[in-house]
Amino acid sequence: MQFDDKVPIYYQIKNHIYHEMMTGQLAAGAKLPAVRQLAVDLTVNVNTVQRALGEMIQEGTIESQRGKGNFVTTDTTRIAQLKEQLVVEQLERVYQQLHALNLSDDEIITSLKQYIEQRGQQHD
Amino acid sequence: MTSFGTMFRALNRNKFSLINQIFLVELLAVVVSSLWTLVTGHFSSMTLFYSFISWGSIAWWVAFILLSRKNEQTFMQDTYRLVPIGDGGFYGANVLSSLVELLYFSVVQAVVLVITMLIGGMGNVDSDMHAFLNGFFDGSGWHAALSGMPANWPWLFLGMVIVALGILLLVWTTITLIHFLTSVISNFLPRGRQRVVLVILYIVVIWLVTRIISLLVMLYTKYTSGFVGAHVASQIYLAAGAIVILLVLEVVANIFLLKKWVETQAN
Amino acid sequence: MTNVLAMNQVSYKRNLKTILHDVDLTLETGKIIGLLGENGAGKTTLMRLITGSAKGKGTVAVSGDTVIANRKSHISFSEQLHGFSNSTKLDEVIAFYQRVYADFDPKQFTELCTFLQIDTSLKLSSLSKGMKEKVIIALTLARRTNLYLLDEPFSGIDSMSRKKIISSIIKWKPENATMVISDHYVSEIAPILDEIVIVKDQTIYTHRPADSVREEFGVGIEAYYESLYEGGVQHD
Repeated sequence: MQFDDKVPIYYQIKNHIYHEMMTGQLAAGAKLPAVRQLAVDLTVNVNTVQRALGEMIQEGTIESQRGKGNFVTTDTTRIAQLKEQLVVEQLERVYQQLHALNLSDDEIITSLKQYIEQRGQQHD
Repeated sequence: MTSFGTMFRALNRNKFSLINQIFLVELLAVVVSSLWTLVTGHFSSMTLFYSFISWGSIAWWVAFILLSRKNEQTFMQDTYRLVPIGDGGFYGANVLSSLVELLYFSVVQAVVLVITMLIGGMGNVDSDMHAFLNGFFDGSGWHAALSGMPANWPWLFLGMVIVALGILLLVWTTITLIHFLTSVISNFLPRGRQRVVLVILYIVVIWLVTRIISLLVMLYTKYTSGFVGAHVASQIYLAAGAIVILLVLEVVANIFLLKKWVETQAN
Repeated sequence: MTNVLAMNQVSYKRNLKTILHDVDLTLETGKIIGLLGENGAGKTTLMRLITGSAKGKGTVAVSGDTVIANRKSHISFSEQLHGFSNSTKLDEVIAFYQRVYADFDPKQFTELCTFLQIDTSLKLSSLSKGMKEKVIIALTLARRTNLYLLDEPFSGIDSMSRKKIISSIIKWKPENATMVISDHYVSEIAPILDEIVIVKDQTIYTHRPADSVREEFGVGIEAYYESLYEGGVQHD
């Protein structure tokens, strides 16, 4: 995995695991690799993985079972909630920045639409 | 922590292969020079023996010099200095392993000489040599030599061994002392022209160390001259005593320097 | 958490020049620390003061031990095998390590050799720079101890070897051991660092968590490090 050195590594690890959860690579209730294995796979420090997992356990997206390891929560509403939360977070960022460029809400919607259409064409 | 015995064996191993290499080169030299003698037509049954005597004495000095060098390098290298062992143990293991290897080399030389003498005896040799070889192998020569010695010859012999080993060790401890002092002092001198400074420093330190040693020897002889008799034995023992005292002083100084001041070469 | 290293008012002079002064440095157990600084800033000297190979003023305690001989038993240093002649076979070097270090784990060493693709029947003289560095890493990591000091393990070696070495560090560093890695290839090791220690102006200029640099300044470790030399980031 390639890291952006400007962003805290634990934050990027969390996003990486979120991504796997959203795309279903890590299904609800699935067991996560051992901490050291994760660290080796991602080429990061064991402590940093632990910090990322710790925060995720706190927010309830991951459950830690003593002696067994870490599991993605079986609470699918929690995952849905998380997805919603992440979407809102990203939208909020984009919205704030476009707003700062003095775009009205309507203009933001049209430019987003335009952007998506153009992007689709480029990929064809 | 690593024990003295373990450290000794580890250091011994490296020096053992060094000694074996020297011996191999010696063998090669003997073979080549003996072949040359064969070509020139002067080959006799004693050629190998003579060849080993001359090459062996050169090889012994080479072994001595290379062991001294290895000794000093070992003190300065992190490969060895990072091993968790006290400075006294480290120092002792280093010097003792060198001594053991030099003795090993000497024994190998002696064995080779005896074997080549036996070979020599089987061939045609002149009558003087024949008598000598006979005396050497049937023990009569030894008997004759010992009968001329005073009755306490085993003690004399022991005293001489102590003196010989003591001198050998004293040469090593003195080299180390000079090396350590120079290395420590040069750390306190300003950088630049290191080579020139180092040469001058070595000369000064060597002069200083030899002065101190000769002063100590003078003191010692002054206080012991009272009970020196005409006996050879007491003279040998006094010499042995002087060497042992000097040795102890130098070893203590070296271990102190090693502990407090002597740094290794940077990685 | 307990401390694996405590340096208190350590200073070091050589040839009438101050190399380091008033070094106070405390490292917790279980961390990976990047020791950064320009060439000649004193990174190697700092490590040598910790091992006792350089003699300075002040106190150094490793796992609570201040006596040098005891300290050494807690430290595994990436020594460059200077004590062996070029004709020495790797097997002999390994035998030496196994003999003199009671904490040397042969099984772990074999695993490391497999992972790093080291052929132990070779002679030292036939090793490439990258291969020699891998051997040194394998020997250093095969010891089970509290403090690992890796002095510039990535200098002059190719990026594939570098990646392998980084992976082996993550894989084999004991959980409660601390590792100090000095380097100037900051970007490549940045993701594995817990903390950074920067040596500048003959002393410890900064010691802080790596992620705190990213959070507080919004810059990478390398950019932060470089900015210190340009005076870009205001520092408390």
